[in-house]
Amino acid sequence: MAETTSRRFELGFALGNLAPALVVGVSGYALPVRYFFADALVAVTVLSVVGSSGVALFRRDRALTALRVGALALLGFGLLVIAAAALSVAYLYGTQGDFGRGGLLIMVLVLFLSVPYLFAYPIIELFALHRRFAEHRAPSAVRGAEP
Amino acid sequence: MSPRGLLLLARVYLAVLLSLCLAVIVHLGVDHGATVPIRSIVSSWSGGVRTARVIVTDGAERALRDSRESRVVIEDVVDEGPILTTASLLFGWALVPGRDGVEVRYRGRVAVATPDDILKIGAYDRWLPLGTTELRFAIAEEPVFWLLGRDVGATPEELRVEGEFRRLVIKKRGAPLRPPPVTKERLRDAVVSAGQYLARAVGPDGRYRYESDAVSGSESPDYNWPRHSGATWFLADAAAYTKNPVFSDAAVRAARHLIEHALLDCGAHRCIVEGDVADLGSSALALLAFVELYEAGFMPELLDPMRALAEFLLAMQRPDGEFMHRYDRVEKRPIDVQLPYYTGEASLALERFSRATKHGKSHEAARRALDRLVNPPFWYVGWRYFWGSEHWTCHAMNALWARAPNHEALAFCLDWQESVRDLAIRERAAAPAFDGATSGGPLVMPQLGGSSSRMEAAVSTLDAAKRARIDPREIERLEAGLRETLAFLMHFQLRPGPRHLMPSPALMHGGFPTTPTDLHVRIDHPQHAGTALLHYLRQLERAETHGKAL
Repeated sequence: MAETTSRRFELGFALGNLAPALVVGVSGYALPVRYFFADALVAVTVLSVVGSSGVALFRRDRALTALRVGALALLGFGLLVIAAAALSVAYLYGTQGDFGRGGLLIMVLVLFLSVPYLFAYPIIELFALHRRFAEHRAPSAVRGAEP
Repeated sequence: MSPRGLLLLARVYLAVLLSLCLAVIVHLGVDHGATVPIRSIVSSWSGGVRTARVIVTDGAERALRDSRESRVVIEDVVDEGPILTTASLLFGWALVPGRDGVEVRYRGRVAVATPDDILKIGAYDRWLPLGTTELRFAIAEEPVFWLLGRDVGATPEELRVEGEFRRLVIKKRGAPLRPPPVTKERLRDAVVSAGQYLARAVGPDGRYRYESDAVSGSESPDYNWPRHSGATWFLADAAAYTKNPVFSDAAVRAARHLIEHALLDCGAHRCIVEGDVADLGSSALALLAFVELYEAGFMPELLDPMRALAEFLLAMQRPDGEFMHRYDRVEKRPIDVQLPYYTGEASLALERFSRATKHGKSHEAARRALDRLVNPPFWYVGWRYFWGSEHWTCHAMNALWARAPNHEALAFCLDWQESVRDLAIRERAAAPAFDGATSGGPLVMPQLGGSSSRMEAAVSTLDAAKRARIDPREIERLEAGLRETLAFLMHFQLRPGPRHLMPSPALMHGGFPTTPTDLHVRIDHPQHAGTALLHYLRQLERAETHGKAL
C-alpha cells in the first residue's frame, strides 16, 4: 500500500512538472524577439524538467533524485525570471518615477501569472521531496542498526 | 535541499535582489518635482524652426531678447541623472516623454536635445520594431542621436560608441504642470475651439483635412467616411449650440459632400460607400449628422437622404436585433459580419431619426439593437461587444432613455465607467497633468482620442443615470471621474499648445492631438472630445436653469 502511494507521489510530480515546463516552453517560443541567452535558458530549463520527469516515470530507483533536479531547474528559472522582472521594474521606476496604480496592477498581474508556476510549485515540490527523502532514509538507518 | 537550506537561499536571494533594485532606483532616480533651475536653455523659434539657442545659468529672461521675429522659450534644467546605456531597449525607456531631454558630451563638445527638440522631430512615444512585433517606446534613439550628432559633428554610431549621455529633467517656464479646474467658461472655450478646428479643416468641396501633424505640418493621405460623418455630427451640434454660421456652413458643406460623392445605390437602398463594399458605420453616422443638421434647421432638404439611409439601416438588421455590418454592392446582398462600434452607431442614429421624424419602426429597431448589445451570451468571453469600444452603446442608451429606458444598458455603461475610473492614470510622479487620462498603460503616453470617446460615453451615462435617479454616490463618483478626464483633455488641447514648434499654429488651434507628445490631429479627436465637452456643458447649463427655476 505504502509502495503504491509512494509511486503515485512520484508519478504525480513527474507529470505535474510537465505543466510548468509547457508554460515556460510556450511562453519562450511566443516571445517576439529571439535572444540567445533567453532562448538557451528556456531550452535548458524545459529539457531539464522534461528529462527529469522522463527519468522519474521510467526509472523508479532514480525517481526522487530526478524530480529534485526538475524542481531545482524550475525554481532556478523562476528566480531568474523574478529577478529580471524586479530589476526591470526598478529600472523603469528609476527612469520614469512612480507610475501609479496602473503600473502596480500590471506588476501584480505578472506576479500572479508567474509565481504559481515558477516559484510556489517548485518550492512545494522540494518540500514534499525532502520529506519523502527523509522517509526513505529512516528505514535504512534502522536496518543498518541491526546486527 | 532541506527546508532550512531553501530558507537560507530565499533570504540571500531576497537580500541581493532588493539591494540591486534599490541601487538601480537610487542611481537612476531624478526629482521631477524640482523647481529650482540648475541652468536654463533659452531657444528662439520662428516658423516652427529653432533659430538660436543659448544655455545660461543666470538671467535667462534677458537672453535672446533681441530676436524680434521669433518666439523665445526657456526650458529650465531642474535636475539631471545618468543614462545607463544606449542599447535600444533600455535607452527607449531612459527618458520621461515630454519632461526629459538628453545631453551628450562628445570629444569636448556638448549638445542638448530638449523636450521641445525631441517633440519637434517626433521621437517621443514611438512604435518601434521589436523582433516580429512592435513596442511603444518612450523615446526613439536614432532620430535623437542624429539630432545631437548634428550639433557635435558626429554620426549616430560615433555618438553611441564615444558619447557620454545624461538625462536632463526640464521644466518649461510658464507652462502649468496641472490642468486648471473644469468650469463652464473653460468648457465653452474648448468646444468653440474644437469647432473652429474642424470648421477650418473642411475645404470648399466639403472634404476634411483628415489628419495633420502640428509639428511638421504634414498631412495624411488617408480618409475615412465614418469619421467624416462623425466630425460633421459634432460640427452640426456645435453650430446648433453656438449659432456660429462658420460652423453651420462647414457642416453643410461636409454633408453635401457626403450626398454628392458617397451616397450611392446599395441594392434597393442608398448608403454611404466608396467602392464595392459598404460598411454600416458610414451610413449610420451620416444619418446622425444629417439628423443633427435637419433638427437644427440648417438643411431641411436632408429629409429624403435621411429616410433613404434609415431604410438602408433597417434593411441591414437581423431578426435578433443585430445588424449585418457590410453590404456587397456587386452581389447586392448584406454580408453578415460584425465589427466594433457599428451596431451602437446604428442604434443611436435610428433613435435620433425616429425622434426627428416620428418614425416608430426606427425607434423599435434602435431599441432592439441596444438590447442585443448589452445582453452577452452565456459564453461571454470573446463577445464582440465589450466595454473598450462601446462608447456608441452608451450614447444610444441615453438617446433611448426617455422612451425606452434600458436598465441593463445603464448598468453596462456604469460598470464600464467604473472600470475606466479604476484604470485611469493617477499620481504618475513625472506627469501630474495626466491625472484622469483613461487610456494608455502605466508607462505609455495617454491617448486623447481614447480618453475622449470614453468621456462621450461617460457624459451620456451621467445624463441617463441622473434621470434614472440611481444612488447619488454613484453619480458623484461618475461625475468626479468625468471632470478629471475632461480637465486632462482640455489641458492638452492645442489652445494653443507648443505653437513655436508649429509651421502653421493658426491652422492647428483647437485640435486635440493623439497624445501629449504626438501632435497629430485626426478629425475624430476633436469630434469625440468636442462631443463630450459640449454634452457635459449642456448638462451643467440645464442643471443651472433648473436650479434657477426652482
